[in-house]
Amino acid sequence: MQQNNFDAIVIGSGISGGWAAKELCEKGLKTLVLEKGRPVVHVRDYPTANLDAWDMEFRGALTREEAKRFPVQTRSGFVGGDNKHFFTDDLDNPYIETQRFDWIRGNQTGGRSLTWGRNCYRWSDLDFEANKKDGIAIDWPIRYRDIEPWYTYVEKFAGISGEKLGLSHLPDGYFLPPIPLNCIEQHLKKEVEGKFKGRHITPARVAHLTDPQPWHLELGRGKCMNRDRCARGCPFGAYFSSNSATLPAAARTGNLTLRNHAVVHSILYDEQSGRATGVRVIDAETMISTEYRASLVFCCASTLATTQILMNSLSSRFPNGMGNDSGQLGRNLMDHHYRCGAYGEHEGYADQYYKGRKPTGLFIPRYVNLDRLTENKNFIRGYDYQGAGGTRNPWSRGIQEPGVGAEFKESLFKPGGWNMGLMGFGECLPYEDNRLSLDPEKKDKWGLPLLVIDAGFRENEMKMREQIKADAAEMLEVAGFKNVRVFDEIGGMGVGVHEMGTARMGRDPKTSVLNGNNQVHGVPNVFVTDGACMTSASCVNPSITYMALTARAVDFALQALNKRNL
Amino acid sequence: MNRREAIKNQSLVIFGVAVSASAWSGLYLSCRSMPVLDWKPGFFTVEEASLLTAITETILPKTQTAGAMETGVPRFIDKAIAALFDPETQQKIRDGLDQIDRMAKTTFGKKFPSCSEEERTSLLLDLDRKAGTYPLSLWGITLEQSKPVGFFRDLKSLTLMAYFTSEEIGKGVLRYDPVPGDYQACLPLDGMNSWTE
Repeated sequence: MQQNNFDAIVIGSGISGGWAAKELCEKGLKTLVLEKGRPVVHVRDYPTANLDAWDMEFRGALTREEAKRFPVQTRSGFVGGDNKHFFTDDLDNPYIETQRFDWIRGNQTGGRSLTWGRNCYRWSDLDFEANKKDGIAIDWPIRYRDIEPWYTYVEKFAGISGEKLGLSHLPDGYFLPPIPLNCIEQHLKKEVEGKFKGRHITPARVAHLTDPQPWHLELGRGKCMNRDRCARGCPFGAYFSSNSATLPAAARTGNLTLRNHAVVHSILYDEQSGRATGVRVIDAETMISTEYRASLVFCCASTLATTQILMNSLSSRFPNGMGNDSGQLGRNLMDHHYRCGAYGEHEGYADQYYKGRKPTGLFIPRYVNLDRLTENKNFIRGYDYQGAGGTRNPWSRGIQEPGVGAEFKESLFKPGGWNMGLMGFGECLPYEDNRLSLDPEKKDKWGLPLLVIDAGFRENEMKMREQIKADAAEMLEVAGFKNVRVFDEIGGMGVGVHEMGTARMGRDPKTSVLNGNNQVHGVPNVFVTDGACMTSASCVNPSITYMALTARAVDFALQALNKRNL
Repeated sequence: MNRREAIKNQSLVIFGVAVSASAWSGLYLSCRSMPVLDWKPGFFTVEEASLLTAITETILPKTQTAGAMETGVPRFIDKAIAALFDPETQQKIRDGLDQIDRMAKTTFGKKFPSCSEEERTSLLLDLDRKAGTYPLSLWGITLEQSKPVGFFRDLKSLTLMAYFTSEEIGKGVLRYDPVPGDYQACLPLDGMNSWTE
């Protein structure tokens, strides 16, 4: 049984789990990382990374047979024949949707850090103070100053490209050079910034190495080559993933053990000591159940999976799920709402082009409800935009435009006009009855109760979308775009793939699941540092905040361990 | 999630395309009329495949650059329809081919492949104008309500996809730059062709 004892266990190997593993291993703890899915070794297991369209039988399309395994994943639009191996088989991993919920998953080493959008924005006190100011849900137990040094710490290691703006509500960070705006993006920037006070357009801040530093090169990571084939895995290790960065950093300490096909059944709890003693795991392939022991457990399985595990961790002390004295476990599920904005075409800059397929576009930081001057009375909180497009139309424009024959064919070899989409991303409020539960009867193939998801967007989000559309269309029109069309197809909750909440942080054990150090109330040696911990949602992409909270929580845990306080 | 990358894949995801075009040996238009297949269709009948060949070659004819036939477009479509499309869409396209032949007979008194280039072009352009369009799609996401489109929209989509993602066109005609390196944000176009995506 000796081999089943570790100093620390990390559940999950995605963005949060990878960081927990790195930090724990570097601090000298023998660490076991449990990953539900198969192994994915950096570069070796990126089978499509260097393929051109014609190298693939169906040129990157998902066949009808293949699509049958992904009835939920394909709701996202992100799954193709070229990257389907990084998405979870929905038939083997069922859940119950009381309301439509698009649970987009990547059960494999590295999790969704392989396929993420890589946008990284710091939160500010506009976000951390929001619940308190609005009298909604509960207050965050932390403020920007608590997390600020940890943002810098994780940005430096991960490598974030971006431009400093000096905005207090979207703080600058440790940035590598930004990926520049092209002609049409620069045009939009000039027009919008000139005509709307307080609006800014900047290159998206993304986890790409535009100027790799020695500590990146040391791990074998290299500079971004602007191939824009990121979701197949990057052979240059140019974007941040667990596979390219945190797991190799953890492994080189000699302290890491990674176990794949490890379905976590529950976290084990000792009634006498009031501590977790380890984790029960079912091997996904052999069905054999194993217990691993450790004095420290980091739960980073991803928002919904983490809460599912806590709910299934039952004891006399916690008959309703580990850490659930408050009854808040499973509640306040959030996601960002998007798929809403405007699209237009521009007739100018016909003699201008670009070289390279840059992996990102522009970003418009939030500008509403920052203060009394920017208040919108129709809704609280705010939204930002990511540029979708901003390129010259390729040959595929010919599919829609009438035309056949020689001249038509030759014209499609040349780039078409410029296009621009502005895609809004809006904050979702924490609603107590947007919730998860376990089905009392139905179980998956490993005998775990199925997760039941019952959540949806509400009035505040819907009112916000009206403004998102109106503003997007106005900005494009002001900048001279033609044929401006607004769009609004919200899809299911979950399709933002920014699930947050369900084990929120707070000051009071009566109203929260975690404290200000991501420590489970009542079980001091269990930490939750993935999206489950979030108390509100902001409107910016959350991953960099999970990274910072994870590194911060490990630091706290180690100090407490040294003081024998865990 | 990697939303942006899906932009360029949007048509791929919906209307994927097939095999390395260099693997096709192509087929021949005899006397600019009935094409003779030198491959065995899997989904279509030989007659349908011949008609399909004439249609795709009318959409993308050989000029100083290769046409649909030479880049294996019909053979690809035969394979892709079977693997990617649901039975309903498969039938819609099959019926569509038949409709084109009937239209040719009614309008010009002969089968489509026997029509002149002008006749074939005008017939397809007419269908193209009436076929409707797909809804706006960004990041692989359909962002407007879908309205049913005529079969010609699907067929044209497959034809263009097969052609422009073929190795001949991707490497030989468009500007192929698989590992671009630094991104140059603004560059004089100077009459150049598009980059291969």
